[in-house]
Amino acid sequence: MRNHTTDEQMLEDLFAEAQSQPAEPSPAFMARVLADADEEQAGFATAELANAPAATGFSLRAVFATLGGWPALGGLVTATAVGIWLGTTSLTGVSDTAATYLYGDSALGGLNADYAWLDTMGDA
Amino acid sequence: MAFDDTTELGDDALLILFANGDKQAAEALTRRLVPVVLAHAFRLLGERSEAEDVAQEAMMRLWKVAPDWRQGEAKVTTWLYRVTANLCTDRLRKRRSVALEDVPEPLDETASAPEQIQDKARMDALQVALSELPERQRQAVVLRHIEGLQNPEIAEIMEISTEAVESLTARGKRALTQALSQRREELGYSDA
Repeated sequence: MRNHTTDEQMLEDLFAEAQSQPAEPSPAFMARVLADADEEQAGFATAELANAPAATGFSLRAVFATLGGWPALGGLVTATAVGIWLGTTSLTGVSDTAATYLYGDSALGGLNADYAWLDTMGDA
Repeated sequence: MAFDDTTELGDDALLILFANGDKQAAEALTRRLVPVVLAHAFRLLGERSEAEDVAQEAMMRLWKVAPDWRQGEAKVTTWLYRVTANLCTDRLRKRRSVALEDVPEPLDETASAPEQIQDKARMDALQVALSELPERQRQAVVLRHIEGLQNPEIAEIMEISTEAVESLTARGKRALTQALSQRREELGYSDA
């Protein structure tokens, strides 16, 4: 029999007893909670992978971005069109002028005169 | 502190580690928080298997919220106490439709010595008296006098003022005293 002077003291005694006897979780229950944690953690990893951009594999979008996007594509289209036009049209006037500059008589004739002495070497 | 020593880390730091895939953090949080949550659920519900269900659900909600947890914004235990209490309230509401006599009395086959029987009788009497309190009074009394929390933290958990906490605990204690005083001798207490 426990001697107590008041009901309040009895209540404090019961609180103290309850505090000293917490509901201890069983190992099986702890394992169940930990299994939930593992499952949830695995879900985080899957979600991260799903949200991440593709690291490998061919992607037209990636190639487009690497080239510089729409502004760069505009320049590429223009350059390609000019190249095709130059390759498919006959530019005789331009060809004649280029030949004159590269192989013209005046330029080659000057060179022949400057180095004519080479022909006489070894004759003496 | 060793790099992998989780014992010195706070709950919120562990929760962030858990969200980043750290298995040790999951174990440390389980060891640290499950006993707290289970004890609280048991005191509010008075029934072991239901308390385990609630504790498991509360912990599941913690695991789910981990990736969005912001360190320093809230205390993990405060959040858990609140979630546990809300889950218990839901259970108690469902239980109200079941008559009290239909709930089986918990049996403990291991308690055989007279002293053990009386210890158990005292704890059962306290639990029954707690169960008869209004929910908010019961929660405040359990947090203050069994979990040993301070009034400001209880106020945060219950989302009320500290004055309201004081009022709830005072009324709860008065009701408990009144209920238990009629069973003094039965519980092994003698008059002065």
